[in-house]
Amino acid sequence: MIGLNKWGHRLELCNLIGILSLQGDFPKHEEAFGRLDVRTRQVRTEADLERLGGLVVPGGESTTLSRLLTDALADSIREFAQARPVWGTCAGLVLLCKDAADSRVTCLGLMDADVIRNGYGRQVHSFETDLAIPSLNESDKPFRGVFIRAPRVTRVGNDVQVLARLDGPRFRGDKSSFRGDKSSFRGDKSSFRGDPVMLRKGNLLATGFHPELTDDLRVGKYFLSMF
Amino acid sequence: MILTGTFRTKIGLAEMLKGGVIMDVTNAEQARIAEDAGACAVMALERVPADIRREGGVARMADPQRIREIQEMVSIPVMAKCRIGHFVEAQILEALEVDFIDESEVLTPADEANHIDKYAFKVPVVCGARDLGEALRRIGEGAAMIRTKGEAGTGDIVEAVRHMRSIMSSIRRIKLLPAEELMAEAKALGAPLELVQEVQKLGKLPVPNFAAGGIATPADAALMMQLGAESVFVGSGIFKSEDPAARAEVIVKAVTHYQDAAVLAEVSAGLQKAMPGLDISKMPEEELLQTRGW
Repeated sequence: MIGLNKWGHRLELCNLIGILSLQGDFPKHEEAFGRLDVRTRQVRTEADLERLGGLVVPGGESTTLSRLLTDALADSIREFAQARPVWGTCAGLVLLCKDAADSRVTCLGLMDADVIRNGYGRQVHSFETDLAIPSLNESDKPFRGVFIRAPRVTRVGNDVQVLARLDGPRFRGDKSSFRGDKSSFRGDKSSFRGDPVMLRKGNLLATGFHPELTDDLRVGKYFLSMF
Repeated sequence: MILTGTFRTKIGLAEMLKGGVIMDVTNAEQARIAEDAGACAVMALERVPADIRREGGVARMADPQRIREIQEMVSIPVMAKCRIGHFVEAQILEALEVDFIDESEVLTPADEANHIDKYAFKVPVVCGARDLGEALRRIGEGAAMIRTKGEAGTGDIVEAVRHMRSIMSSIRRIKLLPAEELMAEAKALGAPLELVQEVQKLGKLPVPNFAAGGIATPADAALMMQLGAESVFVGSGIFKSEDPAARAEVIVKAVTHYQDAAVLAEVSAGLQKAMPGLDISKMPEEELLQTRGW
C-alpha cells in the first residue's frame, strides 16, 4: 500500500505495530496480530518506537510496568500518542488513564478517566462474560470479554466515548450502589451493570478485558481501522 | 452470564505474569520491598527454601494470618505454596483468595502417589517439573502454569538449566515427529496423548512455562529467559542476599532486558554479595527437593 494517511504517515508503515514489552502478556498480542497478518515489534526503549504505525500497551502488573517505564520512555509514548493509535488493555488501560488513585502507579494521563486497580477483586473473581459492542463488525455477535483482576473504570470524561459496558441478565442491581470503596464490590457482581469496559478518545483505545486471550480478532481489527 | 474460575481466566493470569519476576517473601515488609522493586507477584511462605533446607523438619503451608498480612500490604498477585497432594491446604488457600497456588516440592509432600486435582479449584495452580513428561502430567491434572523445579534454596542455577533445556529440547523433538510416532512418544513420556499432540501443534507448552530453583543473580534470570522461560521465580536469592531491595530491582530489569547484554552488565555492577549458595554436585541425593513428586 502506498499513500499517506491523515497523519501523513506512509500507510505501509501502519502495518508495523509496537507492543510495549516491559512485562505482561505481550506475546499474546503478538500472536493475535500475527493471525491478522500484521507485523509487530517489541518495544522496550524509546528507540523501538521509531517508524511504528501504532502501539499496544498490554496487560500485566501496572506497578511493575510503572517501575520499568523510564521517564524518557513515558514521554516518548505521550508524544507518540499525539498522532498515532495507541491501545491499552487491562494494565494498559490503567496506564493510559488520568488517575488510578495509587501512588505506586504512573499514569500516562492520556485519557480523561479514573480507574480502580483490581476493582473487581482478586483472581477468584476474574471472570468472562459476553459483551455487546456495536462498533465492531458483525455487531449482533457478542464479544467474549475476559477480565483478569481487571481495573474498574469509575469515571469517564466528556470527550471519552464508551464503546462497551458490562451488561447481561445477571447484572441486575442498582448503579447507585457504585461507591468508591473497593471492598464493597468484591464478590458482589450485581452492582457492576453499566460499568464502562471499552473506551475511545480520538486515536486512543482502552479495554478493561483481554481480546488477545480469545480467538475473536474483531477488537484488533477495530484498532487497525483507527489507522 | 458471568463465569469465574474458567480455565481461560486461570491461564489468563499466568499470561499476565509473563516477562516478570515472582519473589518469595515471608512477611508483609518483604512483600512491600518486592512490590516496590517491581515484582509482578509475590509468593507467601513460612520460610524461604534455604532456611527449610538448613533447619529441616516438616515444611507446611504458611500461616493464614501471615498470608492475609501480605495480601493487605501489596496490590500485586499473592501466591502461596501448599504441599504436594495436600488438597486441604489448597482449599484453605483458595478460601483466603490467594491469586495462585503453588503445589510445591519445596514443602514436605503430603502424598507420595498423587498430586492435587487442580481442576477442582477456581484459583489457578502452578506445579514444578523437571522434564516434559512431568510438565504434561501436571497440565493433565489442571495446572495453569509450569515452572522448572531447579534445586530450590541452593543459589545454584545448574538444575534449573538442566530442567529447562530438557523441556525445550523435548518440545523441539516432538515438533518434528510424524503423527504415528506420537503415541509411542506419549508412552515414553508418561504423558496424555492429547497434550503431546497439542505440544506438536503449538510448538510450546499449552500453558506458560516459567523458571525457578536456584536463581540468584540478574545474569541467572536472563539466562533462564534466553533458554526459553517466560518469567522467573526467585526464592531465597533475594532475601538471603546482602542487598534484597537493590537485588530485587535489578533482577526485574534483567528479565525485561534479558537480551541486552549492555543493560545486564550495568545492572549487575556493584551489587553486594549474593546468597552464599550450595554446590549441588556435592549434595547427597536424599537432600534434593526436586525428586519430590513424579
